[in-house]
Amino acid sequence: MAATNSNRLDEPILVVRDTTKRFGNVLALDRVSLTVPRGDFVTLLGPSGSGKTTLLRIVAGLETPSEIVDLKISGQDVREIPANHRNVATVFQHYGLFPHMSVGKNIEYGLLVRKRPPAERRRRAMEALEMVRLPDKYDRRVHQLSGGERQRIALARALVTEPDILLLDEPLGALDERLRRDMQVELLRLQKSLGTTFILVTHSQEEALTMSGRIVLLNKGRIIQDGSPQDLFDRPQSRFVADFMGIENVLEGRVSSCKSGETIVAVSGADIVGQPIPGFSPSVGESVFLAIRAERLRISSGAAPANAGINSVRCKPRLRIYKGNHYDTELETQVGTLVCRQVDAGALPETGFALWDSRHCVIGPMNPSTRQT
Amino acid sequence: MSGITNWRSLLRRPPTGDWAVFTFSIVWCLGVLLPMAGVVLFSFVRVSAEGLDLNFTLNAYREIFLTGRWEVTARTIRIAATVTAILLLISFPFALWLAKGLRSTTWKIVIWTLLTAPFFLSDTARVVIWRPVLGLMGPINSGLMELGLIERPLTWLLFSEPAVHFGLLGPFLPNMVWPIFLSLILIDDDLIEASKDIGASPWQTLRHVILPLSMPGILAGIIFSFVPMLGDDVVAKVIGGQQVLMLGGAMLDLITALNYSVAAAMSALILAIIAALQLLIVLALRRIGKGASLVEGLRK
Amino acid sequence: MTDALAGAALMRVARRESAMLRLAKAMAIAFGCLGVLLMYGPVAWLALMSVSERPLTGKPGPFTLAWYEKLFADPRWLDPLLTSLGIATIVSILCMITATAVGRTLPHIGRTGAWLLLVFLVVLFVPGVMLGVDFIMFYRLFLGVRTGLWSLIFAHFVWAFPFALLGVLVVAGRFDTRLLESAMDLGAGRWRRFRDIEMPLLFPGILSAGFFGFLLSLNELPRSIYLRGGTTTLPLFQWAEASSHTTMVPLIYGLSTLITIASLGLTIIALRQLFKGGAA
Repeated sequence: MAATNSNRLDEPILVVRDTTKRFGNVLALDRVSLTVPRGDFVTLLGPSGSGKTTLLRIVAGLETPSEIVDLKISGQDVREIPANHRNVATVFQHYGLFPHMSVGKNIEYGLLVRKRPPAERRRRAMEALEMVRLPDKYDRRVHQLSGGERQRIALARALVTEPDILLLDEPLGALDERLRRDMQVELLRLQKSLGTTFILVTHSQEEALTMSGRIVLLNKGRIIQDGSPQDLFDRPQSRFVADFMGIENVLEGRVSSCKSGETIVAVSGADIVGQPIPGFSPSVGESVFLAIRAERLRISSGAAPANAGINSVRCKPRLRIYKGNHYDTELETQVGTLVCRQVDAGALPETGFALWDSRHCVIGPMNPSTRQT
Repeated sequence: MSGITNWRSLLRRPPTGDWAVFTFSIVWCLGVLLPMAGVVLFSFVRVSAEGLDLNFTLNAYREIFLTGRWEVTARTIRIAATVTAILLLISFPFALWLAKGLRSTTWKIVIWTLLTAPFFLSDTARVVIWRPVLGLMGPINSGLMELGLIERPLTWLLFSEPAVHFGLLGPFLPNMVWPIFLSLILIDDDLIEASKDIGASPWQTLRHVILPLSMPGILAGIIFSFVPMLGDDVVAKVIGGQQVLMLGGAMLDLITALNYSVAAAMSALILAIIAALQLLIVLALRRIGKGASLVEGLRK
Repeated sequence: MTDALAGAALMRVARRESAMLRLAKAMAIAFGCLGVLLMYGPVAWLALMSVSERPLTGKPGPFTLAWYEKLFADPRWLDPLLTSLGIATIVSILCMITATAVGRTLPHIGRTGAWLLLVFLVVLFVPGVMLGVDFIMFYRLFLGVRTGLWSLIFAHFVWAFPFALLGVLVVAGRFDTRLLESAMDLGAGRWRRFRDIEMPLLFPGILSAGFFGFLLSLNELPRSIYLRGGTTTLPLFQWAEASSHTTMVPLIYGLSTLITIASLGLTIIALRQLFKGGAA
């Protein structure tokens, strides 16, 4: 079906340039571009309405972009090629398994449509079933399977066609906690052993962190940040990223001084020292956000020594929540409510000081004027 | 290098299906709806076997009232209305019991079959048997005579208006029960439970919950019984004979006599009456049921 | 003290209510039996008469198959029967094709779809006689087209189409269009998607459309009267014979009984297909 040009191994498997999609008055995607190297596992992350699913569907061919400059899969221009002729396969959130066909026939369908002979279809379907560890389900009917099993069949059905890219649209959304974790590991394992390029869409930052070496964070149709999990977590480029990735302590303030190596931000009357994210040079008076992960905070009964590098703010512990493998303590401070994470439940002073290293206090722009490409 | 691609957005519904539907709809409107509308036009002109004489005239309508045809129409409407009312009284409790009373699935399938099958049976077959049964020498008369209840056979059992009423009940009962049954079955049992829970008596639940929610079905039932009944001529001919003339027979006579203008006029008249009656019923029943859309009722 | 009185009063009300409920239930069942009797009584009696010796008396006499023998000896009904079967088959096929073509798309066009559905169902609100008269006046007089076999098929189709459409809609309304997306994603083109996914899943609806078309055409009378154009269908034959006062009327009893039994059988099959496709 897809006439793939001979593709050099170093050429990216997917190139999307400047695609825009409008649904009536709603702008779902706003000049989004994405390049994916062969063999990568990329996650498209974002809240609902961010455009991540729309982008996925445009790659699959199930959605027509309102505007697009370039869309190449394995080096071939697929803008005019409909979905059924593209060599990509999708695993849908609803699975889309055909109720009137057996499991085996479901898996074979992609091969049937490609006119493979019956013997080959059966062999490859059985291999796919082995791969998802459901070898004895060939003759079962879809309604006899559990949710997790259906998910794996949908996966097998997509993979058996040996697509250039496997697209996954929130495939784990309908599974319960335990099953989801197992499937996450399963998907990772599969991707590594097959080497196929995976593009996963999810709204769970936790899932994105687990699965992917590269996260593309979208919001309101634009790419906000594109990088490794460490990049997004430790060097968020906007307030939105910090909030979405779940950094517990995000403060807002104005830069009061930025001498070399030391940037001081005034937050509600307190002076906080922090580290700007790479590539960001704040100017005095600029509005910035600060992000500190809860693990980096500690409570002390006494103030910090006055040597440079440690921020200390008067605090009053208010509420302690047991989270299973750690404790989160809410602290009332002059700069707002801070959350401190501890593994052991030590004694809490009536009042104390919240301390954190300035190197763990990231500073980023409130209004990033540059857009990511 | 700007390449703006904008081919037809992939629909999430079957493509090609669209033009099939629209082509068919146009053919339908031209082939089916147009004739129906055309007839109204015909009633205002003189139509004869040679063709149309396109002068506007109310002759046809005049003729209806002058010859006995208006009486026939009025009689048919009266009888149909009466029978429909009786059917409604019989059908509603029956449908209610079927929908809410029966629990076992086997019974439900049996009832479904029993209710649906008559639609596919021949009219003639069901009606023709009444002749001998209701006749002067029939089993009813003989039985009553043997029991000594009457001395002479009852003449009004056949070829009379009461007989026609009776004969119309059977063939049109399914038309009335079916829609009511469907709309009752769709009423969520939870609603009835909630009503009971609040403290409503069964009668109150019936009046305030069940009746309004089943209004679309009742409406459909009335229309599906009344309208075809107007056009019935099998019962009228077989059971009514010459004594009770109804619309169907009158129409046939007109057409056989090639009196097309009057036939068109009667047709138009009936269509107008049906439309008016439907409007009345919808308005009246809307007060009881909260404005249930007929289309929705039909879709279900 | 007053509590006990109130309690007793409540008990009385409750008991009266349940008594009334039981009465109402009994009435409903009574009406139901009356209804079933009205619907099937005549048919059952007809079957009984067809095997009685003197059916015109209306009493079940000594049992005999003589009438059936006479029926098969006098083949006047054979032609109309074959004509009816032929027309019914054609109408059935037409219904299956058109109802499928329209029914698969109608649920997805939103409000236009609802209005179109009304347009198709309008003919159910018009007495068959009226439709017959309207058609013959329009086509015969206005357009000058002669009636004949085609007009009969046309009339039957118009009568059966709404029912066939409803049959397909029941199944099509439940069809999950996301399955078509999956199929496309896997590489299936338009025709394949229809053949492999839509048709198998819509099949119960298509089949019931075919059955409705067949049975409704087979037993159609009022419209046929006007649009027959010289052809005689079985219902027309029965009607003519029944209105006559000859002694051959009992043959109709046998014929009608046989047709009734066949229709019942086909109806049961059609319903079971519908139920298999997902019952209400």
